[in-house]
Formats: sequence, C-alpha cells, structure tokens
Amino acid sequence: MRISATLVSVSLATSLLLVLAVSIAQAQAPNLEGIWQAVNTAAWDIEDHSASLGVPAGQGVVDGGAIPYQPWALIQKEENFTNRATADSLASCAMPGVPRITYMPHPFQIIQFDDRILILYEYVHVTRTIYMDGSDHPDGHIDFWMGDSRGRWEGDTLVVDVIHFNEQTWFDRAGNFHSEALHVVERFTPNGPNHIDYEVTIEDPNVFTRPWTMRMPLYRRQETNVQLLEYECYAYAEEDLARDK
Amino acid sequence: MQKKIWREINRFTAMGVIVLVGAMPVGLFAQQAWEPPRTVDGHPDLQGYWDGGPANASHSIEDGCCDVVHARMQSRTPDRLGLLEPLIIDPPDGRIPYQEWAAVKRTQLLYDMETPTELGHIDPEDRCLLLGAPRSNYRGDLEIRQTKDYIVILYEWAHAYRVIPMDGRSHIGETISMYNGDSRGRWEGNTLVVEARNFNSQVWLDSHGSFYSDKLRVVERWELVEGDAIRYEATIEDPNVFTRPWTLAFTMGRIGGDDYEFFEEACWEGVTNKHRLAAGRLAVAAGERQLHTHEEESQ
Repeated sequence: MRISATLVSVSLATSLLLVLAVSIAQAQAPNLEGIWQAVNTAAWDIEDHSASLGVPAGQGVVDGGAIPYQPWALIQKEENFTNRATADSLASCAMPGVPRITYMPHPFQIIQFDDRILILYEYVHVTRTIYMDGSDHPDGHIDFWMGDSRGRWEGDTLVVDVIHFNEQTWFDRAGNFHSEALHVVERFTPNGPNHIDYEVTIEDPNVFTRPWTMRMPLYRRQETNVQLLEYECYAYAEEDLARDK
Repeated sequence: MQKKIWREINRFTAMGVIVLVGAMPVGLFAQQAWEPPRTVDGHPDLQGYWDGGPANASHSIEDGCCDVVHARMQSRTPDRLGLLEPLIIDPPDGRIPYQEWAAVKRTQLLYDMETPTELGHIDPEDRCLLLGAPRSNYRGDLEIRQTKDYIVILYEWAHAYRVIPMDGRSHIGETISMYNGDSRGRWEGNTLVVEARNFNSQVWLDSHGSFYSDKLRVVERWELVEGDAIRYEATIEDPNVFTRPWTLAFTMGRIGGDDYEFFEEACWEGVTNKHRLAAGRLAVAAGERQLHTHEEESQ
C-alpha cells in the first residue's frame, strides 16, 4: 500500500516535471522571426565547383565534400548535369523542394507561433507551415513538392522533419537529386541575433549509401525597409513555357 | 361606466408596465455592443481558417457562375447557377462602373476568352497567377495569422500569401509593380483596414475579363462580426478604368476543426495552356468568334 502510494507520487512528480519542462521549453523557444537569406552558391551546386558563365565558383556545403551516391545514381547525376538546362524542374519554374528553397538567392520570412511556424519565401511565393503541435505526418505516400513539415524544439534548435516529397525536385542546378523516399531533417539554431546555423540531414536509401549532411549560415537581412517582394518565375517565362509545357 | 373604462385603462397600464419590465433586461443586453475575442495585443482576433467569398463570385462578380460548359462539367443544378448573393454593393445596380473605352475592351475580352490566341486572353486564374486583392479573398479558403507587427493571409489556392505590415511603414516605391500588390494595414477601432497598391495590370477581378490598370488602389475593411464570421468590404479605385470608386462586400464564415490543415496546391506545376491557345488560334483562323455569355443557362 505504502509502496504504491510512493509510486503514484513519484510518477505524479515526474509528469509534473515533464509538463514543466515542456512549458519552459516553449516559453524559452528562441525567436527566429525576421527576414533571412543564404549567401552562397549552393543553388547552383552544393558541391565544390569552378565558375562558368552565369555561375559563380563556390565551395561545397556538404559535410566531407562528396555526396555518397550509389553507383547508378552517380551516373544519373552526371546525366542530369548534362541536361540541366531543361531537366531541372526549376527551368519550368516549379517549386524547388526542401532544402533547395532555403538557399535560393531570395529572402524568406519566418513568422512564429506556439502551434506552427510559417516560412514564406519570395521565390514563386512558396509557403511552408511547420506544425509544432506534436502532430504526426499525414499518412502517405503523398507527392508534395515541398513535403510535409513537422517541427519541435530541441533546446535552442528548431528541428523540422520533412517527408512526402515527389521525385521531381533537385538539390541544385548541377543535377544532384533524390527519390520520393527522401527524408529531410532540418536544424535551425540561432547563432547570435542576426545568424542562424542551418544544418540539413538528407536520407534516401534509394539513391545514397548513407545519410549525409549539408550546413550553411543564414543571415538576417539588415535593411530597415526590407520586405518580401515577388519573384513570379512562371509569370515572366510564361510565353516561352506555353510553347512546350 | 367611467369607472369601468378607468379599470380597463389601469389594466392596460399594468400590462404595459409588466411588458416593459419584462423587456428591460433584453433592452439592456441589446445596448451592450458585441465584443470580438482579442489577441494578446488587444486587437480583434481574426485568426483561423475562413471560407472566403460567396460561391461563384470568382467566375463573375457581376453574374456569378457559370458558362454552360462549366455548368455541365460540374453537374450544376439551376439553383446553383448565377451569383448566389450580390457582391457589388455600390453602385446599387451591382455592375462594375467601367469607363466607355474600358467597357468595350472588357466585351472584347469576353470574346477573346472563348478563342484565346494569346496568354492575355486566358483568365489569370487558369494561368496560376497571383490574384491580388480583392480577388484572392473570394477565390477560395484562407487562413489568417496575426502577430504584433504583421497580418499574414495564407490562401490554399496556389499557395498564395500576403504579408501585411502593421507598423505604419510607407509603401514601396511607385515603380515596383506586383501581382499581389503592396499592402499596409492599420486598426480603426475593431476594423482591420488594409490599403493595397503597387499592382500590375495583368490580373482580372474575375474570370469575365474584369480588368484594371496599374493605378488600382484597394482599401479593404476586415471586421469580425457576431456569429464567428468576418464582414469583408473592398473599395476599388482606378481612375484609368472606372468612372468612380466602387465597393464589393461579403461575409466569410469560419471553417475547419482543431486538426484542419491546408494541403499543398501546386497550380502551375500541373497546368498547361498551349492546347487552349492552339485551339483558339485555329478557331480565329476559321472565323469562329463567340461571346462568352450565360444566356443559355437561363433558358
């Protein structure tokens, strides 16, 4: 009798502590709101690359240098590179997927609530809602361009789990690709008031031999009048795209 | 006899007093203005999912839906045709006050859309262009989120969104034009007032070629009203195209339960217009032109 009473009070205390911990975590969640932008060349190529016409040279953002492709996939990647002017779905102004949208050369805005975090991108008015309410991904598979995002706080880090992708988006203009089995985990960690360390783990057993990681800083735009404008890619290219789309 | 009359008068007076007393609490209650729920910042809380404008309005804000082909495709019964409630409240005739030249151009567009030979003949909605204000608000469902500094409106259709700064900053430079325009918001009492400008001239107010110019100015008024609804009003001004400012209004209701979520609506990624253009060009070459009209459905 006494033992069970002790057990009850111990478990009660534990649950209280848990609830407390969760509410403290929420109350102390860092504020990521603002307008941010990556400043690098990952949109062209996430690996090391020399300059070419219209493409600035750049050092890769992939941990360890090379992406661990399966042998067949490396051949596919090289074919993609050759055909990139038309084979890249961005050539017809489709949504870029995750994480590519993050390092497009356009700003994006984070707006934060307890139950969700909105990321609004200037590039073709892409939006993401990252549900923070502990809900699971919907049953699938669902072919979303931008995937389905569910987030949580781990200390100061916003961790976003993204699945339900289609296989039409690439990681960059260089033909780095994935299948619909893509599983992305993004980590947004504030590093001072004006920087976020952005780390992305990519997992896709159909294409890669192991999970791999890319990382880059995100910078807060400093202009006092900064706001998202529009980049309506397809609206500007519609005349051309209407011929073959 | 007089006493009897007096008794009757007293009886009526007594009844009157009883009725008055009985009515008093109701009267007092009615005098208390309805108070909207508020955010932590003290402003009316418009947050949540809303059903947008009345059915059929996006097809024509004057006539509703639909053309005969669409009606057949959607198996619409006669009671679901037309505009289910008037949208334009001023002018009272419910028509867009086009200048003479603009009315001619609009009629031309009602021909062109049946046999499009260029993209400008096809409804911007069918081309997945951002539809701006006010059309986005009667195109489909929307989600409103508020912070101290911003009102954000997410539209499920084509993942469109608007970010409306509430910090009193000025509009962007006049030479920047955008499909969705540039919005600035402020609170006037319990009403969210949004002024939008910096539009381009590519978008129509509906599928009936209701065009405007880049001089368009829109003032929107969003007010939370009793019954979990938003009363929306937009005053539209464009000295290049209309004879005077005019106003449309409707009420949007709340939708969705606790776990309601928007899905990704990839519009452009699935659209093609080249076949419509090819068909339009063939028809025009064969001398086949016809006016887009709803005449047949009323027969």
